[in-house]
Amino acid sequence: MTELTPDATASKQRARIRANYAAAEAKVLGELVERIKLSEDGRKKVAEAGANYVARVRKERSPSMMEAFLAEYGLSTSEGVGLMCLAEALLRVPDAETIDDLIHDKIEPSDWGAHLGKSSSSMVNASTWALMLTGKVLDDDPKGPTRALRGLVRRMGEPVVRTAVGQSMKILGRQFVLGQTIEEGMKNARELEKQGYTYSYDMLGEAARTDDDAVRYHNAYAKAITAIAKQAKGDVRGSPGISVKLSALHPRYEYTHRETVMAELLPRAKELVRQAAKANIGFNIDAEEQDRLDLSLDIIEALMADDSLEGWDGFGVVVQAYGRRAAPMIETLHALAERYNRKIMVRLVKGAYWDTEIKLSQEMGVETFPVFTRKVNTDVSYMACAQMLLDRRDRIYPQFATHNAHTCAAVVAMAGDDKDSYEFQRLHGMGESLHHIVKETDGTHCRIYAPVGAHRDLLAYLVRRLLENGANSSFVNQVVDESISPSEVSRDPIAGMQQLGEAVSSPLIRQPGELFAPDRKNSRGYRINEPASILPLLDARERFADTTWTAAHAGGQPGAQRACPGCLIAGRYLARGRAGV
Amino acid sequence: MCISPWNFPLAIFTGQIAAALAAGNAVLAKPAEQTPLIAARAVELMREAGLPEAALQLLPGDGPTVGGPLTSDPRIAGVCFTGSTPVAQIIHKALAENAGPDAILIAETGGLNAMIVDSTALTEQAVRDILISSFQSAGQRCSALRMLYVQEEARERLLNMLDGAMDALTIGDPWNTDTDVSPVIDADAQAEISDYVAAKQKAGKVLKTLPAPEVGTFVTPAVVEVGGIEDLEREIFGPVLHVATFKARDIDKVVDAINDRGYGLTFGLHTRIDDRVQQIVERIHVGNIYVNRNQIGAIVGSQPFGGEGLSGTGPKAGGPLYVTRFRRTAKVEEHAAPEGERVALQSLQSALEGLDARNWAARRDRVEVLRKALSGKSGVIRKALAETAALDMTPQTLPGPTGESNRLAMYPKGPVLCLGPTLDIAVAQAVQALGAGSPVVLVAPGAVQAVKPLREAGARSPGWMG
Repeated sequence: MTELTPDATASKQRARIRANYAAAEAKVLGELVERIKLSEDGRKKVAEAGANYVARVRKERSPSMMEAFLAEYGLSTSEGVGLMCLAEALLRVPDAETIDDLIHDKIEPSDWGAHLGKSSSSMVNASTWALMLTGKVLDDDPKGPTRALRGLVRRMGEPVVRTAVGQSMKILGRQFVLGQTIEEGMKNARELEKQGYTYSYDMLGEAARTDDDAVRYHNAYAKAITAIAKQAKGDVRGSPGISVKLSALHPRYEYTHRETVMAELLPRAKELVRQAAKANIGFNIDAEEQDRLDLSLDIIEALMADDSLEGWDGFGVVVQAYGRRAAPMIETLHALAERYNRKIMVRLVKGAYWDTEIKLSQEMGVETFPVFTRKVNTDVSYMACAQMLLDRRDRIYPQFATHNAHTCAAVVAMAGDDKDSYEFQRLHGMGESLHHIVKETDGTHCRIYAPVGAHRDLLAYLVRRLLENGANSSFVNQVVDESISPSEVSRDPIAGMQQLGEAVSSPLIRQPGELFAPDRKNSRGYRINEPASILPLLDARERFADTTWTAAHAGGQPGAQRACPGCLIAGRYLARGRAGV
Repeated sequence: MCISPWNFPLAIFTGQIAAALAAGNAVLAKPAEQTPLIAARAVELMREAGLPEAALQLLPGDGPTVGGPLTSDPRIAGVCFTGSTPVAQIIHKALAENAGPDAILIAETGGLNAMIVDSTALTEQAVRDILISSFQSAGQRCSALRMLYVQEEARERLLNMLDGAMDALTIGDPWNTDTDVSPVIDADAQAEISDYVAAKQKAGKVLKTLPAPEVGTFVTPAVVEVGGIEDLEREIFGPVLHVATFKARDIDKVVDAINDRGYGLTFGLHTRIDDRVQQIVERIHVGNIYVNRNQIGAIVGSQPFGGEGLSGTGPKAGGPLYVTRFRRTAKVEEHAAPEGERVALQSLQSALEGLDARNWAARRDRVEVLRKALSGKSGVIRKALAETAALDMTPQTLPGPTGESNRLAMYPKGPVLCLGPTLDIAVAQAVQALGAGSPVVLVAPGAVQAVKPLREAGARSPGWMG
């Protein structure tokens, strides 16, 4: 029986993190801007340097297949959405009949011909061509010269279509996934490692639903660490590392199950951390949904307290800049590193679960969103967090994961001359050109976050990446769009945010309480898995723990009832509720 | 008269009362006999908020003692009831026998709720939603999933994951925040559900159970194998999930089997094929359809809740038509039954069989057809035409969280018998039914002649009687 009582020992830092959970967006951003030490002139130079990167990316390098794909399809076309749905589902469907139905469903109605030959990448064109061919085959009313072609493919039959589409999906998968196994991934990593890049490997997969799943993921991580250990270079910063999702290690990685998590998940994580420490490679805990943040800190602190890790600098944590708790989170991590006398790695990301966070908050009717409502606000937060991390390099090795030219320029400007005291990170298959240029020009280090696993497990990862980078406003989209000037692509987010005035919180995103506005207020909800939200409620409930409720009709015998009569727990059971009538 | 159930002792209790009061009625509220204290506390708060005693009276007690006499009292203008189908039928009868002809009954009853999972579904997502739909609140929700259909190719993986995910559930005191499955409401319910599972166990049909605490009215969550929904004897109001498999090509037959049971409360579907979603949504007869999510927890204003067939009368709670149903309709007029030939039951049946509900419902030009056929008519028929023309059955998109779509659609009820008693009234009734897409059988003197213009104008479906 787990009771969630307010954690009496919660440190001051934790209290500050919790206080920011539902803090007003404008207030949080106001405080964040204050932290950025770049002068007016410095900011101008950063924007110029960013624009310069953009111009060079366009001139010197061709975009990767992935970038070209996102630029061509993105999420604003029905083809892009259809393709994403197909990629998500196709490879897991076992029966031919349903595969055919799925292909019909996603490809038939789309205007693939409109995309033909538009992309500068021949690979994108090739898969467009394949998709269009199959689309034409499936189309019942085709016109013009495709008729002969269609007849040909139709004669070859549906198995050919299935194979063609399956192949296109695998081509797509290969752009995201470095290898199907860790060995294959490490082999494929060699080429860029020779150019001075390092890697952090991620094992593809969903959050564990069962303990069997969790054990399987645990073994996969252990095996991967063993393999990576063979390439350790004696220094965590120059060695490949591993990124671990805690939700893969336990089916109930939730705050409500905190006791179980500490008893079952923690030992599994500890085992992996010790293995990584022994091999002297980086071990990074990926950030997930915001309502896992508080619980993840409990695990992080318990792992950092492990004496056997002394002298190892490879423990890593992720901070999501879109979270309103990012700044106190960084302060807490630094304080923990001080307390346990460690050097740690902190990866700063913008955050990939934005849609989920917005939806969940609205669904629950909580007070506000735990994340910022505009991309420009997150960009400002990223700069402020970068500044905070750079100011704490005595304990923290910052890792800046971004594909945005302005953000890269800002980090380079804020970091100063010590290029070994931090690194950049990019995703496998993305930001290749930009990071090549930054690395060559500024002598910085760059690590590649590379997912490893079966193509059928690509889903969650793929969808997150597309949501993150597929929007028209995303940097990845803009950098290949020649119609937007480099200086526009690399505009200063601080100025952009400050221009918003009262509209710092996007009016397009309805606050959870305003979901039914103007008709009525939404009913107020609480997040049972978010201590900042639920603890005050549980605390208020506590005083009724021993209350016996009674009611009586005039002249009747009072009936009485406890919180849960069905439990009949000895000593807690009084009388069945039946008001005297 | 508002009669609410124990499984939502605050939400349904309050929702019924609020709607009845908002429409201007005085309310007698009878909460379930298992949960009178929550009701008493709620009423106390309503009084504190200023609700006059004369507008709301709380009458706790059991059905036979309190509910029976009150629903049979001629002074009752209507009953709003949530509970079992048999009790709803008893109330319906009591109202018909004792109350005025304009007394209303809004009944929200049980269901045999199904979910279909095909092989394009993401197993992790389906398992999560199955767990929530079947076992949250110990399955004691009218919306809860009872009958899972999984495509045979996906069965093994899905059931294995379901098995493991059930092992990760916590069964215990709902006071604790880590509790996933609570005890059932009382010892009677515990005995009924446990006996059912024990019988299935004896028959070797139980695929999975979980150990439950020994002290308390806990029952063991169970997964029971069946051939299909036709094997379900009745609604088991607890954490018992039935599972069957289907072949991809038989998916329509599964939908028909679900429809054949006559219930129609909730339905869940997990698929990535949009065409399939559309086909099944059109084919299935249930009130609330949930796609690629769980099938419980309807939200007022986003997902108005209520079923059809044996599952309820409508209108949906939390929907735009709910409160208006509590209003008094026009004054009831008395009409003497006109003289005419007797209609044989057999000819009535053959008229019913001759109806083509599907084609008539699909026609977009229904109002035009009716106007053409009945132009120049006056009185009740003209009024019915005007009302029908004003009827808007376009699906509405309701507000809700980003990233999901909540649609409220209206469908014709199905064949309507229009009995007049006068010919004009029968035709007016037919106009309203036909306008909403339902085919009709018209019984009144002179009906044969009266339906001719309707048929000539293209309303081929109405049956008629002399």
